[in-house]
Amino acid sequence: MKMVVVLCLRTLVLFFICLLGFNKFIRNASADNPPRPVASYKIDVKLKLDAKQHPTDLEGRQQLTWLNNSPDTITDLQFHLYLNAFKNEESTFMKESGGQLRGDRNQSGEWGWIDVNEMKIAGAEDLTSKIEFIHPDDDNADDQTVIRVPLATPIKPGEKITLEIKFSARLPRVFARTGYWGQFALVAQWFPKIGVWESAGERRRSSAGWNCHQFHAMSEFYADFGNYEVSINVPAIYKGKIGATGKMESESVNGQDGTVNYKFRQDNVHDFAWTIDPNYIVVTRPFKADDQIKPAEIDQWARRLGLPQSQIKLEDVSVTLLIQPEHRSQIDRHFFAAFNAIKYFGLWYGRYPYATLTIVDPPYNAEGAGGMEYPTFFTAGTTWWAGRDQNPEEVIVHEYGHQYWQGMVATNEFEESWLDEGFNTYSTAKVLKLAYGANVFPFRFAGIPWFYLPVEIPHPYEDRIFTLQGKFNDPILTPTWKFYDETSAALNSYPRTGLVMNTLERYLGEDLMARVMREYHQKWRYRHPASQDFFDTVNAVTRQDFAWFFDQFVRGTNTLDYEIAEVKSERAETAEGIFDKDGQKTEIKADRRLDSGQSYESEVVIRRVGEAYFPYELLLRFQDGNKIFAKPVALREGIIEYQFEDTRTGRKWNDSWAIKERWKKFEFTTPSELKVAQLDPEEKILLDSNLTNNSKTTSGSGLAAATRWASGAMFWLQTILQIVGGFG
Amino acid sequence: MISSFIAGILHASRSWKMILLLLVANILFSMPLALSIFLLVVQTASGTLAADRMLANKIDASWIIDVFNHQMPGYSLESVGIQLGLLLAVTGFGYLVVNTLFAGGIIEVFAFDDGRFTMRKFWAGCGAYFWRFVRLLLISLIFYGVAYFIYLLARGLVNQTEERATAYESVIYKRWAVMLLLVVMFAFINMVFDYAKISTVISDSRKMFRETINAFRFALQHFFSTFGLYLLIAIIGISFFGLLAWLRSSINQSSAMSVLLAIILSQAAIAVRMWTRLTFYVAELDLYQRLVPEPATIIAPRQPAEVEFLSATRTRPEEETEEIRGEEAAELRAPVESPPEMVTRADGEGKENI
Repeated sequence: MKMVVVLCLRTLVLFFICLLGFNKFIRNASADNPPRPVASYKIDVKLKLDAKQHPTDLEGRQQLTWLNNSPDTITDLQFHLYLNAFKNEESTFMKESGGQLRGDRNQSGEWGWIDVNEMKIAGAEDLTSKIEFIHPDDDNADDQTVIRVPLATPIKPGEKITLEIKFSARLPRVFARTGYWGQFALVAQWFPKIGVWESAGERRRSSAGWNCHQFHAMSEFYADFGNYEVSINVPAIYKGKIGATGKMESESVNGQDGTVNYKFRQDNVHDFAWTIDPNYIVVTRPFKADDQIKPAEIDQWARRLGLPQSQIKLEDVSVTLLIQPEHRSQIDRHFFAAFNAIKYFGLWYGRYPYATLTIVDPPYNAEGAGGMEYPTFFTAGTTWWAGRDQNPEEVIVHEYGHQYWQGMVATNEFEESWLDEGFNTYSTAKVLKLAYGANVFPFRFAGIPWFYLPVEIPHPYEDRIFTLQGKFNDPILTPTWKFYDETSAALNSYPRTGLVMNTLERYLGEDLMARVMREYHQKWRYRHPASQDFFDTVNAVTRQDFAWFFDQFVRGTNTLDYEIAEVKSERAETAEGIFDKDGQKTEIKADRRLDSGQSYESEVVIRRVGEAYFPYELLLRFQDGNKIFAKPVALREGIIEYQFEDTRTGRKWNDSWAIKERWKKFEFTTPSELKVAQLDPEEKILLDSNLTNNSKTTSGSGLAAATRWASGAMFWLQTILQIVGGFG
Repeated sequence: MISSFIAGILHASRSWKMILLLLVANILFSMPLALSIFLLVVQTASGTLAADRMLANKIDASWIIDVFNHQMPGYSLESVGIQLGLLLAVTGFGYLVVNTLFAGGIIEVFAFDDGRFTMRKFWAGCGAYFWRFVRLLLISLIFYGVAYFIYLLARGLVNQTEERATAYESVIYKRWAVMLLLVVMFAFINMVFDYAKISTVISDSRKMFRETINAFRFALQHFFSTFGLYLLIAIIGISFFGLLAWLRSSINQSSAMSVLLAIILSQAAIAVRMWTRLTFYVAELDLYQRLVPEPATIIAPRQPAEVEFLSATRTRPEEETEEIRGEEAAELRAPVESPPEMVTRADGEGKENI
């Protein structure tokens, strides 16, 4: 009996080990067991108003506890002083941006800056006099966004160091992600922030060192995780009109001067931002996971990802919206978008692990503060008269998405922005498609959406349109400050990556892609991945080598374009001439040819127009409704192998196409005339730069379509002419 | 005003030949762009599934981008936008000149001989008043320019407040107010120059500055009647046009027949715009002649049946008109300018009383 029990126990243990092994790609410890905090901050900051009652000045004290979580002995520290990007026109940020970013221009005379007044190791060395500005990315001696502090006593592996820092800062007029406007302020990138020490091998580095870049125009941020405890003192007018990263732990009014003290706390984040505006309408609503997500949806995603339902279930989140009074009619729209984002990102990539989420609506003329993400906190932005288009929904979903691709999977946005912005563009389009369908495009005049343009751009085709308007001067995988220009940086980081990800998804299938993304997110949650880590994840989950894909479309700039070059379908006829038949010579003359029954000889020529290659599917449709479908089944040693299938007869045959060859002719004999030849019939390959040449028909003039759109354009021109003519 | 409004509507509605003529001119000016788009679609989408998609759905944005990238090398959305803008400017200028030409013919037709349309009469009017109306057009540009300058000043003030604003609501209301001011000023000037043209034709004047001043004086003296009539016709015209445009847009153009129906509706909508233009002229002509009595010597006998709604209709005097021009005519007008009893009359009786 004992033996039986032992055997049963062993079997049970083996079974669970197998189960664990089966799920090893999907499950790992990172999601619910964040790593030890590396950079934790306790900050006391007082916000002061200037003579015009603008919230401009900060006086702060911070205690930074930093853990040397590497095997290296560290002899110096490096810090970001981001606000110095706005100090003068000589900063790297100002030089790169030309003083304007995302349509906003900096205001001369309303500069921002930060001074470190004191820095010392708690109870030990005073480092203040040793602070020096460095410029790791360029030779701009005037840039003051990074400081280096040599240490008399190196920090050994596993050691912690606590620094006491005093700083003063002035916020710029809102221009690029931070600043004040009127009585509003978005206080972001506002405190001395330690860089990230990367040991050799981390993020594929060859040698250990600080990753502490200067503030660049087109790049965002990169930092280590830690715990934040921030006390904020603000003037009385801001009582109850504040929002910040994390959970508000206390609010107290200072009896002496009427100022208000707030205390916020959040663990396992890598940044902290806050905002104030006496005009805010503050609305808090709970995202109740059980109400928002149906059991069937949890079941569907559990099966899709091969995970137990317990890992799919989400948790409740307290969502706070700080919205401008003139946008009060859009409160529900904000929450609906946020709840959809929490739901779908949670189901797909893993639950949102924080208790709070704060959404900020910046005031008019402070749009430079809009559309920016910080842990558990982001700014959105909307129009005064919102139409039926997906504004503000798109920006809300997108900024929330950064909680996953920048907040939790802490991508280095300086060096590999596509891993955040591009992944997020891809994810955002998926949420919007599910929650809202295709976007519409209003014609706005005098602030009113008068009508919607007759253009249909279903998600994610907007990425294709944006991408193809630009030229591929750079690979996607380019450090942000090394892109050819702002347009190249934006196109590659956002929509072009979106196209790459959507093409990959359509090629792999939604289920497999879902597993790839889940695995990547879970594996790298609370960590810093590199691009190669994503490539490795794709290869591991799909058990295929996708180097050909990433080399061409992430590391390369080649254009992808295949076309149906020619389509022919002719009634098969007996050849003319003299033929030996039954031992006799029979002549078939041109005017007495015999029909060879009901057969047609068809040929389809496919041409690779661009330099890049891809295994395209091919669909042929015939007059009698029959179809022939050609599916690429293998790509190896420069050959794409195709399997053809006649859907009526079920007959299958193979053919192949060498990648280096520019064209391939496929020939068929069928009982019916070929009507349409279509490459990539499901439009999986959105990277194709010309979808129009992916099909050819043997008939069809397009006259009706041409008449439709020409007459439509003519109508509007006639209307305009009538208005003009009215003056005559 | 109401009588003039009704007269305008009835008479314009009977003038289908003139509406057709104006419509044809409008179509001819619009044709080059329409033809370009037609050929572009035929050349790039024919023989592909893109044509099917564009007939079944809204504009295929993918096709637009593909066309730009592959069929029109060197072009971009921006460059095409600029070229389109230039094309619109040139076409618009040409159409403006043609409308200036037609204005003389339209007023000539409605002002004399009971408003009967003949090609000869129409073109004669076009030729007779073209250069005078061009001068009026140039003079009107001064007033439009002044109005636009006033608008810019007001807009500048709003922009100053906008730069300091933390809410858009207050800004947009001010912007609307300023924009409304511009529309009202433009509409008023447009109306004044309609009366200047009418006055020019009626009196066969060649002094355009004087006609402009007279027209302003007339419009301001009878502000509520003139501007009320203008707005009433504008609202009716815009409503009819809007209705037809809406009907057109609600058609699902997925077959050749539905495309044809949409074309018919769109041309009907444009025809309504022509009708509105004619209504302006007829009604304003009617009102003008009700409010500004003619010199006694040029009154012609009229048929009672025809004056029910067309007090303005009369026969062009040939020789007598020349004799009473200038100071004499002015003297004749001066003592009886805008007598109240004249305004209220619904027919030509008042003129006989003069």
